[in-house]
Amino acid sequence: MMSVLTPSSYGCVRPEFITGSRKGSGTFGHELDTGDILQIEIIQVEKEHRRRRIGSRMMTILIEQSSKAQTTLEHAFVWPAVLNHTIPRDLPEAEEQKLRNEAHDTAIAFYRKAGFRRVGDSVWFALSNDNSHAAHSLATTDDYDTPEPAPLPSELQKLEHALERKRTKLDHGMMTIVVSDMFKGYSDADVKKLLALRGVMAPTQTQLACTKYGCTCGECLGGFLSPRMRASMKMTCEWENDNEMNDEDFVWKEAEQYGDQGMSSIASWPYLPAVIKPFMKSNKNYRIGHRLLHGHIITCLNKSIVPNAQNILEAIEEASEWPPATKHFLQKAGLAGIEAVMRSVVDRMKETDLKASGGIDAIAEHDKRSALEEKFKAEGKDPAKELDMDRADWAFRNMGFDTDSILWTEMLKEKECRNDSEFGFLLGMLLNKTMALDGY
Amino acid sequence: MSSTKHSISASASPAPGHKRVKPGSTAVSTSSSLVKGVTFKFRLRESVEGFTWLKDVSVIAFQTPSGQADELILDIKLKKEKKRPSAAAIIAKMRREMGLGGADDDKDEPEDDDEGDDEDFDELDPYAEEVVEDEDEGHGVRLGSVGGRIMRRSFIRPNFWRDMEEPSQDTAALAFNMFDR
Repeated sequence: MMSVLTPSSYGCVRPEFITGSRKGSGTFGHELDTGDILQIEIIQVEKEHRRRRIGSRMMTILIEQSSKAQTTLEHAFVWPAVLNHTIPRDLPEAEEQKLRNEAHDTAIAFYRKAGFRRVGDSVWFALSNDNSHAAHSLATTDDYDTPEPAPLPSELQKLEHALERKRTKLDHGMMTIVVSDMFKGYSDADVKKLLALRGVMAPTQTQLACTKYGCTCGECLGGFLSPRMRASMKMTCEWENDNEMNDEDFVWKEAEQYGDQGMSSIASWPYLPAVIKPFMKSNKNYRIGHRLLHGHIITCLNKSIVPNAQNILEAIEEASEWPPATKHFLQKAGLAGIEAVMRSVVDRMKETDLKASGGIDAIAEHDKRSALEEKFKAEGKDPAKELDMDRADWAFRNMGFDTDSILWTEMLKEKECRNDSEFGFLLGMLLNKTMALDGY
Repeated sequence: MSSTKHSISASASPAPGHKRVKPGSTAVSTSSSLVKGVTFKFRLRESVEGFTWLKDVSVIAFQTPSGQADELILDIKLKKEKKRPSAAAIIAKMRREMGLGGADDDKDEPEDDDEGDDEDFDELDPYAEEVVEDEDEGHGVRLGSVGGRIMRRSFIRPNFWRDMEEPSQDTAALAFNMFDR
């Protein structure tokens, strides 16, 4: 059975609430990363009808009926708060604050009674749809509350938090702009401060690079290409490099019949420079060169060097390929040929990624199905009859589980890192470009 | 414009008389005790504001009129409005119902069923207009409500933050505070 071990990314809970400094009671873990979410936005009971258990009954019905309607619903989330209009106006500030605090405490007590528990030390409370979840056996009195006064973060925690925010978000008025794809490393001054606070006085080149590019595993190539991303890139390139079918004339002629849409089945076609496209259609040698370029990326990865244009060209030189198909391809396409291949490789990596593609959902579904199969077998029942096959097959149908799970298994063998699943950042670093905001 | 208002699931049919509907067998149970004399309406709306990955859910509590003692749960699915069928389609349907035109003719006719087209249209166009009936009428005094949203996470993983920021400040707050991109 595959297990889900995932760093936080693409709709996964932020790691500090699970294992980090803000894990609170530690009741919730990576199970929060998968499944659909129910967010409770508002609850209101008329004043004269309170204390009749109407609120808790409404909550039960909402969750039960929602679970029936959405079978992959795993968790409900709520941020207990106070509705402004329930607080009388024109009160002295201290009195208003007192009322607010009381109402807030009442809201938290209500949700705790309903089974919700605080996630880490956040303001959010969650309820698991799984009765065996640890949160269901955590007494309301044992649930985590931030101690008062709240402990002050260390200088290192403050800096790490500020840099992480700078890497990912940009506040623009009421809007928050996601800038993760444009990250080009922290400033030298920040790197120096970080290293000093971490007690690294004489950093190696690797430590310098890893600190600059936010690596947390210490094994990123150039400080930015993480072990899991390397595994993914290598498998993607192996697939393309071995796909000799794409060299054949009939594949291209068939694709051409459907115009640009048909040609898009050739992964890098949309990115290839116009100058090479007619030659790719008419000359098999260029197609072979295009395919073999993926092999030279693999060579770089095997040598543990960053597969940027310069290193790829050196790998081509060293390969002494004959006939020199890759050289012929690059003579026509220029460096834009390398860029096109790299873009299509990173596209494919994102499409099949453990997190960005919803792979973790598929794995969770797969594990659930396996557990149910085991259970029915143990009870002497036929799993095929007992299982809701439509639901069980969902992951396979939608996620390409059969093929992609091989990649995910390889990725899970590698160390996780903050730089995992950062496709825009990776591409920007490999191409030495800053990605557009919506690039990835 | 005709309006498809809602359907009430068979299991929660209120007629004849009020019928107690047992809670589902789902794992979560925050409270098992029933509230007598109250009608609860669970409403689910698909593709909220055109977001195909978002569902709107709510429960509204009403004082059940006429002293009914049992709790009642109504399960209401709000649907999108369908396009009104064309006059030609209505006439064709009437002809079929009246037995005019041979069965073979019907078979040979190309598929020109507006209703089928509407369904396709609904699938393709998540922004299809919806009309929601004022369902609060006739259910007694409103006692309270709870509302929420179901987010189908696997649909929006590639751009989680960006997609979650769009529907409301609440969904954005959840995404930015609790989850990573």
